[in-house]
Amino acid sequence: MRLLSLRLHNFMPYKGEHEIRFPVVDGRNVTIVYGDNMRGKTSLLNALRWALYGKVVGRHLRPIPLIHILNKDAERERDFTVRVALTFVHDGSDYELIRTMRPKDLIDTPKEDGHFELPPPSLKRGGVPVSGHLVDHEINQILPESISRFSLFDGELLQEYEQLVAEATTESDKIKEAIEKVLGVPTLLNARAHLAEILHRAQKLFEREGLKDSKHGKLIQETNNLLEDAKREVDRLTSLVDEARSNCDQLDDKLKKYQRAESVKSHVEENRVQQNNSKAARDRAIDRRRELAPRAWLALVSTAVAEKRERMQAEFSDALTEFVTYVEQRTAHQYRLRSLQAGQCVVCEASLTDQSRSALREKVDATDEATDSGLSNLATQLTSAARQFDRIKGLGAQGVAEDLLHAEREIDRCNVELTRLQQREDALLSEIPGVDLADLGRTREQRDLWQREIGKLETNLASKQSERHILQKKYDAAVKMAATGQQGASKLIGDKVTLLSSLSELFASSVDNLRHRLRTDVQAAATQTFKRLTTETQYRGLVINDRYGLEIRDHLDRTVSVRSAGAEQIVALSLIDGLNSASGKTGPLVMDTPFGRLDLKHRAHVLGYLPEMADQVVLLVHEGELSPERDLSHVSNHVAASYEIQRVSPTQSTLARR
Amino acid sequence: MSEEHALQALEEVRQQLRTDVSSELLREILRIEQEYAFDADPDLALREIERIIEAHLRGGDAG
Repeated sequence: MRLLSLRLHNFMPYKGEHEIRFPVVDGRNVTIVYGDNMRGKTSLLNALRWALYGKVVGRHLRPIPLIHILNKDAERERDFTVRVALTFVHDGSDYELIRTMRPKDLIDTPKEDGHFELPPPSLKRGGVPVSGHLVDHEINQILPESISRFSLFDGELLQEYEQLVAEATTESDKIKEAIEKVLGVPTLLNARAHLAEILHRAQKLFEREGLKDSKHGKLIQETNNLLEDAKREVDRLTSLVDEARSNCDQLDDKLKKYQRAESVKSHVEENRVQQNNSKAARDRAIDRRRELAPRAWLALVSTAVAEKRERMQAEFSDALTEFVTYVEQRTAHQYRLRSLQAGQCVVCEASLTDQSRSALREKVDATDEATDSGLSNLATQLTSAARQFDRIKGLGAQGVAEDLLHAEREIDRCNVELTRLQQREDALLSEIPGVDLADLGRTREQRDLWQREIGKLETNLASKQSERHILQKKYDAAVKMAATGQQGASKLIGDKVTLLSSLSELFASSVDNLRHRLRTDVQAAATQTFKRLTTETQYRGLVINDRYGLEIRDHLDRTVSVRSAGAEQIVALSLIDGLNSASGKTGPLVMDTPFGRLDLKHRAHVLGYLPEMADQVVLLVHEGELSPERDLSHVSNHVAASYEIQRVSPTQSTLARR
Repeated sequence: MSEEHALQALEEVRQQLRTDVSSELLREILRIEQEYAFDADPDLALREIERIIEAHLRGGDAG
């Protein structure tokens, strides 16, 4: 299926007639529609849904009442008709599909859904109208509603998608069913059911025709009874295996949550170690600050102390100089005194003359008293200065201020780090609310018990299936023998029973084989896509489970249990691509706001890959998620048309070609 | 859609069970199921399969 155009009349914000075309030319298969929030991007997606299936959905796929699809301004102007016309090509034929909503006769002003009539949609193939009762059948052949979620999707739902698939819920059962529809599993299931029913009828007919009374009749009846018992037993065991698997799946889901919780718990524990380290560092800084605090005042007087120290040093130096002078004078005095006593100079030993003796005596007498009192004063001064210097020496404030500042900064840094770590811990714990890790061991034990039970049941089932197969062969042989020699209708019924028995068994046994085959194909295709889209080159790939959920495997083949919203989106896109690839589907891909959660690198990867994901891609985006300047280069070679949704009024938008 | 997958799965099981049923008949049954998969009347597929099987038997090949 390839979209050609979409025409809207009074549909949601599009008052009057609007048209958008989706060209695919020369390998250019991408149409981009830019629009701000609330301007009508999702309305375009809804217009497609409404044209195809008569349904319009809001957030979380909740249905929107039809009264709300009528444009508000048109309603005020009493134009109550809504119409959407979709043209497309499928299998070489041109189609035009028109769906209309208008007020019922005798309703002057429609106020609720019941006031509108919805005529059957008009569908033309190659210009020829398709009969009304076949329209839905034809649309479902082209793009079945149940699988349209893989073609027409809302990017905001992408990250929830994987979770929905992974967990055993009613919604995940619906998705699994939709996935199996994409992959064609129901074809086999339906065939199995139909063949079983036709066989049952044929067997009854065979019995009624009186073949049981033939010489082979008794054997046929006995074998049939045994075969029916074996079939019932196979059904019973199959149902027990399914039940056990379902229980095991639920416990596996629980264990996955626990694994996630365990992973989160280990992060929390790591975080708490970091918190303890930060607390210890903060305590050390607080101790240091406490230690420095009594000396903190020194920092305030440090300048005055330094000045005083300098002054004292100068005074001490002066006193010392004076002391040295006095000591020199005292030494000279001693020499003079000894020279007078010896009558000769004690240095040169020359005899003293009367004149020199008299001069020496004068100097000795004059010096004696002054020198003694000077020395005494100086000694007192020096002792006092030394004492003061000693006292002031202990008042060194060197580095106290810097140490205090450092301690304060360390305390602040630790407090910031502790707040950050606490917030991280809160965020981690909020990811696993109400998970009781104490239950982990018990759950593992229960899961192991169920696995053992499944093993036993499967052995019994295989044995019973083998028994059924042998009985089926016996029955077929008996029927064949009975039919031999029969003519006309009786022979035909006998042959029919034999053929239907073989076909029934074949189809019944092929379902699991097909599921396994498809899962393997989807996993391989999704892994290939995932490796193209992810920025983590070391990841080994994806592994699919029974519910078509996908797990990321890291370089050591371990499951990556904590995934970001962006990673969820990448995995969901990979799954959708894997499904489309495995089903050989070539429909359009219409994506509403698909890049909101992706970082720039992932966005670039996805944009680069999108044109390969489908024959036709329509992107409904706002410029915040797909900047024409920054991002468009990744896909510009594939863009066939660009539109912009322009605001006319709060309740009206229009489409303009860019 | 994925007729080839289903056919391959059937072929594989057919070989395992050594059942002598023609590929054409299997393919025909799958085609009918796909064609009527989304039809409102589920008995259409059933009737069509029965018709094909009877035609197949009348054609001389009992499977």
